[in-house]
Amino acid sequence: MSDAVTHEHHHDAHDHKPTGMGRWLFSTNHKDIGTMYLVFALIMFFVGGAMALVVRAELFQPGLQYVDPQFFNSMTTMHALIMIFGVVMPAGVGLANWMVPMMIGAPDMALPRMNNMSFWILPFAFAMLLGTFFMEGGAPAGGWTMYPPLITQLGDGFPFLIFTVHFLGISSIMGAINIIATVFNMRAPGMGFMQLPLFVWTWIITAFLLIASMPVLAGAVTMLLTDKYFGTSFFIAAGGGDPVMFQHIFWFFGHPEVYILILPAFGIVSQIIPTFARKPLFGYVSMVYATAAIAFLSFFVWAHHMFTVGMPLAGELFFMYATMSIAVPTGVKIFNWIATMWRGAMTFETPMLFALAFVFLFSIGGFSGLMLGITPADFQYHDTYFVVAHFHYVLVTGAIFALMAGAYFWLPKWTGHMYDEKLGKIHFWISVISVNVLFFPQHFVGLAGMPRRIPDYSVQFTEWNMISSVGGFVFGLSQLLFLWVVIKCVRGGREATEEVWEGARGLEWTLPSPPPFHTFTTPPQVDEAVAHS
Amino acid sequence: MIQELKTPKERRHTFVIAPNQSMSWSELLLVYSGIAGITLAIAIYFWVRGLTLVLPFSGLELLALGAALYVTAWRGGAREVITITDDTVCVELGRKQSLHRYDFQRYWTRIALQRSWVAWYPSKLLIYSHGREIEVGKFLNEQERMGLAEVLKSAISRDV
Repeated sequence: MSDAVTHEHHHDAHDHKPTGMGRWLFSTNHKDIGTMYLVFALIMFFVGGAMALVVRAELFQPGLQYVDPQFFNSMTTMHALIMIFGVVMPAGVGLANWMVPMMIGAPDMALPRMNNMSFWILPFAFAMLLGTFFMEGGAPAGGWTMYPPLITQLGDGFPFLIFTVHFLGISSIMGAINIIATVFNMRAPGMGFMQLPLFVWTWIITAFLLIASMPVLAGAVTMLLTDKYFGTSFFIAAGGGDPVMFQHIFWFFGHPEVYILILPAFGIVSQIIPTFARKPLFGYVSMVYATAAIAFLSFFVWAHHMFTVGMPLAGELFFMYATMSIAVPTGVKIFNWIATMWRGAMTFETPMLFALAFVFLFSIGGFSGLMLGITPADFQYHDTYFVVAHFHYVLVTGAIFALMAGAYFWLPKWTGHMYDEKLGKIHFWISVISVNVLFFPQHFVGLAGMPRRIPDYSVQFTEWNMISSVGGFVFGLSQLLFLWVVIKCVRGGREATEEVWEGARGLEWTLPSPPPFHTFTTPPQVDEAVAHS
Repeated sequence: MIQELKTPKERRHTFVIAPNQSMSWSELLLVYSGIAGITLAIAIYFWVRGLTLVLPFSGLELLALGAALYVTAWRGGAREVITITDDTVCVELGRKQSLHRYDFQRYWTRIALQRSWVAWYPSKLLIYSHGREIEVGKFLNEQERMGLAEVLKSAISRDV
C-alpha cells in the first residue's frame, strides 16, 4: 500500500533550505548557475560600457579633455577584455546552462559541481583584473592582444593580468567540457545529433573551438610571464626570441575566439527566426555543416590580423583566400535565415526585431571584414578606426544584439512573466538607431586615416567623432532601459504560457513557464517538428 | 530511463532504473580521440616551433576532458532495481551487480515525491518505512521521476 504522491516534507532531513548567498554559492542547479552567469554578464556589460563611455567622452573633440593617455589606453584595453571575457562569453555560457539541458531533455548538466566552479572563478578573476587599476603602473594598457614587448612594460598589474587570463581560460574550458559531456551523454531517447536544436549544435562546435584554442592562449601568456620574470626569451628579440611569434600564436587563439563569441549568437538567431516566421528553419542540415565549416576554417585565417607585420607573399595570398572562403558558409547561414522568413507568417516582437537587426547589421560587419581580408587593402585599413567599426558591427550588433534577442526570447520562459513589449520595442529602436550613429561614422574616419587607440586626433575627424560619441552615450544609456525591462519582468507581469510564442517549437517550450520542479509533465516527444524547432 | 520487467509466472514486479546514456563507451572514445588528436597536433606543432609551453596546457586540458567524459559515462552505468513481491519492497543499488540492498515491508512502505522549496529545483523520490528511507531515481528527469512515483505507488497498492 502506498501513500498518494505527497508534496509535503515528511522528514526534517529533507527540509534543508539553503538561503541567502548559500543558495547561490553552492548551487549545482543549471538554472541557478545560468542565472548567475547572465546576471554577472549584465553587470560586466555596464562596467565595460562605462569604460567605453570614458573613451567616447575623451574622443568627443580633439585634444586631451578628461583623462591622460595612459588611462585612456587602460580604458580601451580593459573595455575589450571585459566585454569579450566578462560579457559575451559568460552570457553565452549562461544561455547554454539554462537552455541546453531543457532542449535535449536532460535533468541537468553532466557535471554540476564543475559547473558551479566554472562560474565562481569569474568574479574572482575579474576582481583581480579590476584590482590592477589600484596597482603601481596601473591597469593593462597595451591592448587586449597583449603584444610584447609593450605589454611586458606594464607595472605590478602584469602578473595579475596573466593569472586573470588563466582563470578565465580555466572557466571557459570547464564550461566547454561540461557542454560536451552533457550533449554527448545525456540526450533524450530518440534525439540524434541531427535532431538537436541549432543552438545546441552551435554550442557543441563552440566547445570544440574552446578546447582546441584555449591552451594556445594559456601557453602564450605563460611564456610572456616567464619572459618577464624567469629569464626566458620566447618573445624577446635581444635573447634570440621573436615578438612577432607572439602575434602568430595569439591570433591562432584569437581568431577562433571570434567564432567562440559569434557561433552561439548564430544559434540564438536560428531559434528565434523560425519561431516568429512560423516556419521550420530552412536548410537545417546545411546550417549545421556551415557552422562546422566556419569553425574549421577559423584555424587557418589567423594571420589576416597581422598582414602588415610582414610575411611571404604566398602566406599573404593563402591567408587572404582562406579568410574570404569563410564568407561562403556564412553566406549559407544568411541565405537560410532569409529563406526561413520567405513567405512566413511573420510578426515582429522584440526578439525578432533584434534578430532581424542582427542579420542585417552583422552582414555589414561581415562585408567590412571581407574588405579587411584583402591583403593590399588591409595595408591601408590596418589599425584605423575602420577596424574598430568592423569588429563592433560584428560583436555589438552581432553578438550583443543576438544575446539581447535571446534574453527577450527566453525571459518569459525563465520568469513566468511576459516582459513589457512596448518598452522592449522602445529599447530596440533606440538601440538600433544609436548603435549605427555610434559605429557607422567610424568607417568614415577610419578610411580617412584616423588611427585606433589614440586619445587625441587630427581636427579633420572632429565632426564624425562628435556624432559617434553622441551615439555612444545614447546607446549606453538606453541599456538602462533593458535593465529596467528585465527587472520589471522578473518582478511580475502578464503570466506566460508554456509555449510563450505562437510559433515556438522544441522540448523547452513544452515545459511550464517558469520551468518548475516537474520539468517534463508530458514525456518528451522528439520528432522532426520539435527537434529542428 | 525506466524499464518494467514483467515476469508473469512469478508474483513480483521489477523496475530497473538507469540514467539515459546517449553514447556508448566506444563512441565516446572515438570522440575523445578526435579532440585529443587535433589539440595535440596543434600543441606539438608549437612545441616544434620552440613554443614549448602550449603542450603542458593542452595535456592538462585533455586530462580534464577525459576525466569528465569518463566520469559521466561511468555514472551512466548506474542501476537501481526495485522489486515488489507479496510482502516486500526491495531496492538494490549498483552497477552490473547489486552493491547495496534495502528491504522494506510492503504494507508499510510509502512513496513520497518531495518537491523542493525552490520552484525550479528537482524533486526527490523517496521510498520509506519505519524511519528508514532511500532516495531513488536521482538521475532521472522530472517527467520520468513523476512517472516512476505514480507507477510505484500503483504497483505497491495493487495485488501482485
